[in-house]
Order: sequence, then C-alpha cells, then structure tokens
Amino acid sequence: MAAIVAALPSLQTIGTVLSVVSAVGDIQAGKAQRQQYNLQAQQTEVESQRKAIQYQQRSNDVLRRRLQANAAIAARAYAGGIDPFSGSPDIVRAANETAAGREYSMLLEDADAAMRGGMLQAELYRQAGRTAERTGFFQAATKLGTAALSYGKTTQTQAPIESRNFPSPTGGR
Amino acid sequence: MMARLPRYQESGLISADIPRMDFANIREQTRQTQTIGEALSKISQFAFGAAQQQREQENKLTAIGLRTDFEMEAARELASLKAQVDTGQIKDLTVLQQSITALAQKQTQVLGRYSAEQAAGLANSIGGQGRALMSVATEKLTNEYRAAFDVLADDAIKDEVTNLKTAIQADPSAEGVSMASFKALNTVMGIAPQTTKSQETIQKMRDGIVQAKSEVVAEYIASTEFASSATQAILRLEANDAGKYSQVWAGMDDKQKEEVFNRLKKATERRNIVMNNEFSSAEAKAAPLVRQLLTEDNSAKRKELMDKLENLPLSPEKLKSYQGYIDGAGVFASVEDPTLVLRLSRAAEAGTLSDSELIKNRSRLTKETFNSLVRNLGNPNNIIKDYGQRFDQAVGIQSANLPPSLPTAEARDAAVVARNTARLELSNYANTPINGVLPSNEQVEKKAKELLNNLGGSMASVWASAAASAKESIEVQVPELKGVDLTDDAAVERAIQAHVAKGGRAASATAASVREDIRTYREAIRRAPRPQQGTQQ
Repeated sequence: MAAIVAALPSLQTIGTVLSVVSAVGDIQAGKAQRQQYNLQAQQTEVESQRKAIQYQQRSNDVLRRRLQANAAIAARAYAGGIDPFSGSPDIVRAANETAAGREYSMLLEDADAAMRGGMLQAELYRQAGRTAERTGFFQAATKLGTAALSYGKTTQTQAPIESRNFPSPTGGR
Repeated sequence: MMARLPRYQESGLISADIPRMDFANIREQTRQTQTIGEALSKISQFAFGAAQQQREQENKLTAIGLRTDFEMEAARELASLKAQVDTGQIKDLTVLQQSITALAQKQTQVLGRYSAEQAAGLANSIGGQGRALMSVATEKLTNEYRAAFDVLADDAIKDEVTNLKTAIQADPSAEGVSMASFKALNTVMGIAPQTTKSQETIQKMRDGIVQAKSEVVAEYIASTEFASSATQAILRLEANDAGKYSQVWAGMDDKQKEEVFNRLKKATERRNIVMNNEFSSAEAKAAPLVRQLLTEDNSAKRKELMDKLENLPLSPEKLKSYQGYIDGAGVFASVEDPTLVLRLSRAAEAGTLSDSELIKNRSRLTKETFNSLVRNLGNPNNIIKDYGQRFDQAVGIQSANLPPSLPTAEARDAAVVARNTARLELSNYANTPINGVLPSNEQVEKKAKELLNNLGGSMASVWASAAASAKESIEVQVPELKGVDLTDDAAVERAIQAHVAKGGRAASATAASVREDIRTYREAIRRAPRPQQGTQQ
C-alpha cells in the first residue's frame, strides 16, 4: 500500500496539472469566443449589405415612378397641344422631380447608414472577440500564477529560526 | 377646365431608424476588467495571506523569546528589589509596589505588541512573583515597624514612670496618684496596639505604675526624714503610717507593700555598703599609722599619731582592736636573744615574717633590732604595685593613661572596673588586720595571685562579650556572613565578595569595616574561654 501511495503523483503535482489544464481551457474558451464574435461581425456585415440593397431597390422604384409621372405629363401636354417643358407641365414636372428627389436621396442615405452601421457593428464584434480572447489569456495566467504560488507555499520547507535581538523594555540586556 | 396633370405620388418615406448598436466590445472589456480585478484580488489575497501567516508565526516566536528574556530580567529586578528591602534601602511598601507595577507594565506593554497571550502570561508570572515579594516585604517591614514601636513603648514606659514619680511626689493624695497613673497608662495604651506584644506592653506599664509608687514611697521611708533607722521605718509602716505618702501606702496591696519593703531593704544594704567602704578606706589609712605607732617611742609623736588614728571614721570595735594591738606590743628589751634575732632576720629576708610574729616578740628585742626588722619586713605596697601592673597586663592596659586594647567601649569599661576592683581589694586586704594582725607579705601575695586568677576569668568573659558584639556587628553589616565560620578565610572572603557584588561601592566600604571587625572577633575568641570537653565534674 505504501508503495502504491509512493508511486502516485503528489497532491501538489496533481493540483498543478489541473491548474494548467484549466488555464489551457480558459485560453481555448477565449479563442472560441473571439471566433464567435468574428462570425457575428460577418453576419452583421451581410445583413447590413442586404438592407442597403433593399434601400437601393426602393430608390430605384422612386426613380421609376418619377419617370412614369413625368412621361404622363409630357404625353398629356403633347396631347393637349401644350409645350410639356414650359408652363404648368414644367412646374408640375419640377414638383415631381423635387418630391422624388427627396425620397431618392433619403433612401440612398438609409442604404448608406445601413452599410455604415453594419460595418461599425461588425468592428465592435471583432473588438469584443479580441477582448474575449485576451480575457481568456488573463484568466489562464491568473490560474497558473495562483497555482505556482500555492505550489511554492505548500512545498517550501520551514526556515530555521535564527536568534533574534529582542528589544529590551528597560533598555538593557 | 384643364385636366389635372399626373403627379408623382410620394410614398411617405421617413428616414430609417439609426441602427441599434450592440456594444459587445464594451461588454467584453468590462468582463475583462472584472476578470483582471478578480485575478489581482486573488493573487494579492494570496500574497497578503501568506505574509500575514508568516508575520503571525514570527510574532509568536518573537513573543516566546521575549517572554523568556523578560521573565529572566523581571526575576533579576525582583531579586534586586528584595535585596533593597532586606538591606533597608526600601522602607516604603508603596515604593516597592510601584516599582513592581512599573516593571510589569513596561514589559507586558512591549510584549503585548507581539502577543497578547504571552503578555498575559508574563503579567501573571511577574504578578505572582511580585505578590510573593510584597508579602515578604510587608511582613519584614511590619515586624520592623512593630519592633520600632516596641522600643518606643519601652521608652514611653520609662518616661511615664519617671513622670509619674514626679507627679506622685508633687501630689501624693489618692486622687492625684490615681489621675497621674491613669494618664500614664492611657499614653502607653495608645502605643501598645502597634507593638509586637500589646498586652505585655500594657502590663509593663501597670508594673511601672506599681514600681513608681513603690520607689517613691521606698525612697521616702528609707530617708532620715521619715525614720532614723530601718527598724523605725518598718515599725511606722506596720502602723500604716507612711508619712506624707500614707494615702498611697494605704492604697497598696500586700504585694506592692512587699515591694516597698524590698526596696527599703536594698536601700539599707546599699547604705551599709557605702558605710563599709568608708570603713575599709579608713582601715587602709589606719594601717600605716598603726605601724608607725608600733615603732614610735616619742610621746608627742605618738599622741599625734593616735589623734590621727582616732579621727579616722573607724567603727568603735575596729578602733578598740587597733588600740589593743598597739598596747599589747609591750616594751622593748634591753638585752636580746641572738638566736631569736637570727631566726627573725632569716624569716624577714625570706619574706615569711609576719607583723604578728614580730610584735609577739617585741618585748624580747631591742628597739634598734625591732625597727630594723620592721624595715626588713618589707612593704606590702611593693607587692600591691607589682600586682597592680600584672592586673593592668591581664586586662590589656599597656599604660595607666591608655584604655585597654578592647574592641568595644563596654568591654573597655568592664576591663577597667575589673582591674580597679582587684587593686582596691588587694590594697584593702593588705592593710586590714585580721583579728588584730595585719596579713604577712606572703598572705598578701597569695591574695594577689588569687585576684589575678579571678581577673583572668573576668577578662575571659569580657573577651567573650567582645566576640559576641563583634559578630553581631559583622552580621548586621554583611548579612551573607550569617552562619559562616568567621575563622575560615576562604568562606569569609566568598561571603564578602558576594556582598560586594550585590551592593556596589557602598558595599565595598562596608567590606573594609567588616574585615576590621573580623580581626577583632578572631582576637576576641582567641582570648575568650572555650567550653572544655570532658571537664564536667
């Protein structure tokens, strides 16, 4: 029995090994979290691009409807014998241009905002990923450090007590 | 009316909401900060914990070591305090208690910085030793205090007895005596409770009151003012007449009256001794006159000598004896027997011729031969002088003007008194006729030898007393010498060194004085008689 016990690694060694394993786990967890954040960033970028495209499609609709309205004005003016590019038709057409232009530029800004928001969010996720990875390293380092101190404390031998010069309450010895 | 031109239909768009940001980076940074904080906290706790544990361990070890040191130091301090109490340097218990308390406080305060547990143990230890020392010191100082009061009480009793005697003499009435006695007793009762023997002290004062009354009355009744003789005094007293002290006498019980009679007896004896001494002195002066009368035949001269003899304070019996001695000498012969002259001359030369022998044969000798033999008879004064010097030597007097070489004044006084007594006794013996005949030189010398032997015995006692006195002085000065054989040089030196080591410079001075006393002691015991074994008769 004594031989078996002697053959077993010491408790200090087991504790140290477990601490190292745990530290490695912390590092792995940090890395995994970073990958997760990176994926989230990519997903965000894709989503923002999709939204920007939707806004662009809608802006194209605006242009198409403006064109339809202006073409109808021209057709009706021509049909009525009126110069479509002067007078009332021209005023109405100009009003159409203004209204459509307002919506068009708004949709373009929305598309741009969606793109920029997505890129910003993706960058935030990437930063979070890097931070999470560093946190993993910190946790691992802390565990290793604590394990080292514990190991040192439990294995250090008692230093011999040296004679000390004790203070005398009456000033002489 | 002109038809309405087609218009662009606005779809009513509004700006898209600002996309909501998920600040994951901040969340992660916060988590990281927390993690770092926790890690640092854990490490610091670990480090602080270890440091604290180490510090506690060190404190514990330090405190144990300190306590040992402090206990040793406290033991030294307390031993020093005890020595001061023993040698009388500390006479105030408050001072002693303050010293012990200060010692305990000082040490426990220092130790308390390291370990409260060890400090409490130290305080308990010093407290125990301190209480023991206080107990010893209290007992010693109380005993000293009471002993001092014993002396004070004795002095007070003596004073009160003297005062009481004066008071009784001033007012011999029963009331006056009672008041004075009460006052004296009351004074002593105020001191008595603080003495070692309270009841004995009060009893001493009661005895003193009886003594005062007895002395005053005895002094009076022994005086010629009361009665011309002791017999008359006794007769008056038996009739309850004590003159002006009759009231005091009446208030005395039988025991007290007996005391008065005893004192009267002693006073009478003393008076007789004085008278006897006077007679002895007169007899000493008479002897040379008698001798001159034996050889003087000039009638005028004889009358002068006889007048001188009769004027001496001699008792009538003694004077008659001298006169018979002179008259019985007879007349001188005109023709003498040469054989008788030769025998008497040889005896005179040998110093064996006595006065009585010479006077017995006076009528058979011529005046010239008789006078010659008287001169040859020798003078006992030479023997007295010679033995006077031997007496001086026996008591250690080197010269008549110097005191004897004895260590104490009492011993010197005793030696001088012994020497003087021996001289006086020898002189009286030599000059006092026994049955009308003066002692011969041989008898005087025999007496002188006897006195010299007695003087040796007296001096042995004086030396023994001097040795005891020196020993007492030595032990008072150096208590370490108690029980030490003072003739053992090594043991004595060890004890003195121990005393010097303990007491410093003052003890060194004491040691020098003690060494002188030890020399005295050794000289004294060398001369003092030693108990002899196997001499029991």
